[in-house]
Amino acid sequence: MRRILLWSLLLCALLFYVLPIYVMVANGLKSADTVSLSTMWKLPVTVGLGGFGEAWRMLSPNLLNSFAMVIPAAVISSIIGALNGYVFSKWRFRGSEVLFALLLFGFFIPYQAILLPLVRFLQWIGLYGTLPGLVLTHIVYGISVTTLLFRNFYVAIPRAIVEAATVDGAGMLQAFWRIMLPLSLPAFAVTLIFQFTNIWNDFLFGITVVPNPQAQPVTIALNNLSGSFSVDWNVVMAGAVLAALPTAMVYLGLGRLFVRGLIAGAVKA
Amino acid sequence: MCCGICVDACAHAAQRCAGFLLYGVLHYLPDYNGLCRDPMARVVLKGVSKVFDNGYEAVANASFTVEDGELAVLVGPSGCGKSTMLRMLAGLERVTAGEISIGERLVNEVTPKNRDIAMVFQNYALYPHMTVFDNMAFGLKLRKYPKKEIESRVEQAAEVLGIKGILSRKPKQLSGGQQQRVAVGRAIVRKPQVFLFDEPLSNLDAKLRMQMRTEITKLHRRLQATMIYVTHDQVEAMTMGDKIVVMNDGQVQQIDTPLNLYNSPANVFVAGFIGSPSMNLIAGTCSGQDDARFESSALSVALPRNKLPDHAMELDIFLGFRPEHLYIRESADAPPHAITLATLKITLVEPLGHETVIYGNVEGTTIIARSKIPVPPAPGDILHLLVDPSRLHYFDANSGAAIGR
Repeated sequence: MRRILLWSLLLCALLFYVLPIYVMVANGLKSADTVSLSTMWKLPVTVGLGGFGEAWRMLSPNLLNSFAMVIPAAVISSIIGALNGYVFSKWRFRGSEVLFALLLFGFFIPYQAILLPLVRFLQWIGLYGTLPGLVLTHIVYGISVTTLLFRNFYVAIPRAIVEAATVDGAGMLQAFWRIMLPLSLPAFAVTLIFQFTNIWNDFLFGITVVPNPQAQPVTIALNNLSGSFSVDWNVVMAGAVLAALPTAMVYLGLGRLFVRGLIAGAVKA
Repeated sequence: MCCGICVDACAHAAQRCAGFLLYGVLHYLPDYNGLCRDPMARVVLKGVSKVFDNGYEAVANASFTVEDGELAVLVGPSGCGKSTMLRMLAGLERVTAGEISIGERLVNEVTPKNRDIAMVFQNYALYPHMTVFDNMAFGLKLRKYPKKEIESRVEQAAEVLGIKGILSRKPKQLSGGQQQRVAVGRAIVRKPQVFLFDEPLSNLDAKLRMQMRTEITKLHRRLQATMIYVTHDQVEAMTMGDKIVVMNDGQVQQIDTPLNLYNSPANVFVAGFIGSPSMNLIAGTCSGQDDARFESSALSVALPRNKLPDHAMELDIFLGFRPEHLYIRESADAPPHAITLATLKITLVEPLGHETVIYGNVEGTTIIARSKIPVPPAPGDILHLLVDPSRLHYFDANSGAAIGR
C-alpha cells in the first residue's frame, strides 16, 4: 500500500517535470499550421521535422556562438577555481580566510547590480560587444563558485599528501599538477556541469554585453525567434529543444565522472 | 661496511627469530649497499622554539643533538610538541627562534625538498592515484634520476620491505601493513641523510605494530642512517631508541638512553611517563638528622641517609618507587637489604601469567606492585610490602626535579 502511494507520488512529480518537455517536443514535431492553443496538448497527427529544420537554420550560428562562449568560459573558470581552491585549502597564508570570504561575497552579487560598471569596463579594455568580452565576464563571475567548490573538495584531501609531495621534492605548483589535479576529476565534473549549465542558460550578460544579433548566444536568439511578428510555434518549440539539448548532454556525459571513493585507501582514517 | 652489518643483522634475526618473514627478508637480501647513504648526518637543534600565529607555544627552547647514524625517539603525551618539532625538522613548519642544522648545514631557511630528508607520515599519505611503484619512484622522478637507477632503487627497497609482489597495485588495494611498508619504501629509495618518522605505527593493530617496530629497528641497523622517530608510546620509545628525548608541554624534559631514563628519571614527569605500570609517586616530607624518615598520610619509611643530600631534609618531596621494585614479605625473591614499606589492602589483581600486577590501598593512597608469586592474592587480602631502598627516587615537590641523582 505504501509502495503504491510512493509510486503514484513519484509518478505525479515525474509528469510535472516531463510535461514541458513533452509540449516542446510534441509541438516541435508538428507543422506550423497545426500548432494552436487548442491543440497544444495533443500529439502531432503527422510527424514532420520541418520545425526542427527551420529552427536549426535560424539558430545554428548562435548555437555555435554559445559553444564558443561556454567551453572556454567553463574550462578556464574551473581551472582558476581549482588553483584558488588548492591555495585556500593547502597553502593558507595570513589573511587567506578573509580573502576567501571576500571572494565568496562575489557569489551573492546579483548580475543586475554590476551591469553598468561591467559595460564601462569592457568598453575601456576594448572587448565590449565581442564574444571574448562575454567569455571574460563569465569567467570572472564564475570564480567565486568554482573556488568554493574546489576548496571544499580539497579540504577533504589530507594535507599530509601535499606535504609528502613537498618533502619528496615537489614545489607548490608541481604538487598541484602531479598530485592534486589527478585527484580532482570528480570536482571538475561538478564545476564543469555547474558552470556549463549556468553560462549556457545565461540571458542577461549575453544581451547586455553583445548587442549584435549575429554574435549573440542561442538563448537570446531563441527569445528573438518568439518575439517576431508571426510566431511559428513549432519552430520556437523545436528551437527550445535544440537550445536545451547541450546542457542535458553535458550532464549525462560528465555525471558518470562522479567517481566515488577516488581517494579511498590513500590514508587510513 | 654494509656487509658486516648484514651478517650481524642476519645472525641477530636468526638468534631471536622474531618472525620468519623478517628473517626471510634479511636472509635473502642480495645486496643493499645501494641503499646505504654516504654523507655524515648529524642533526643539531639549538634553542628551537615554535609559536603559532594564535600565540600558542608548541615548542619552547629545545636543544638536542642526534648523532650520525643514531635513532633518536621523541616521546611524550599528545600535544607535547613532538610532532611540531619533527615538522620543523622537515621544514613543513617554520622555526620561530633557534637553529636547526642537518649535516653541519644550517637549514632554518631551506625548503623541505632541499633538506635531504625523508618523512614517513602517520596516515602514510600515499598518492592514491599512483601505483606502489610510482609512489616510491615519485621523489626520484622529480629529481630527474635516470630511469634505470629509479627502477633498481625501487626494486631494492621493495625487496628489503617484502613488497615486490604489489608494485603495480594502487594504495587502496593494500592492507594497512602494506601501506605502511610502501610509505617506508618511499622514504628509503631517496637515500636521505635523515629519516623522519611521525608516529608511523599508531594506525596499525597491536600485533602488526610490534612486528613493524622490530623491522624499523632492523632497517635502521642496516641502513646506518640517522633517524628521528616520534611516538607517544613509551614502549616503542624504549625498545627502538638509541637515545630518547622526552617532551611535555613543549619542553624537553630529559635526553638520555632508554635505561638511564628508566633508572634515573630527571623529574617527576619522566618518572611517571617511562615504565608501565608507572612509578608510584607519593607526596610527603623528609625529616630527621642521622636517621632520615619519609612521612606521608599513608607511609612512614626509614630512608637510607646516604642517598639524600642535606638540603633535601625538611622538604616536601615525592617518594618514587617502581612496581617491580616492591616485594611481598612472605615471598622468597626479596633482596636481603629490602626495607619495610607498607601494609597494603588489595583492591585489584591482574594476573598476567608470568607476573601479577597488584593494586592496593594504604590509608587512601594507591600503590601498584608487580610480583612473580606463583599464586596471586585475592582482592581484600592484606600484603606486607618491602622495597629495595637502592631503587627509591626522590623528587622536589615544588620543582619536580630529582634529588640526589
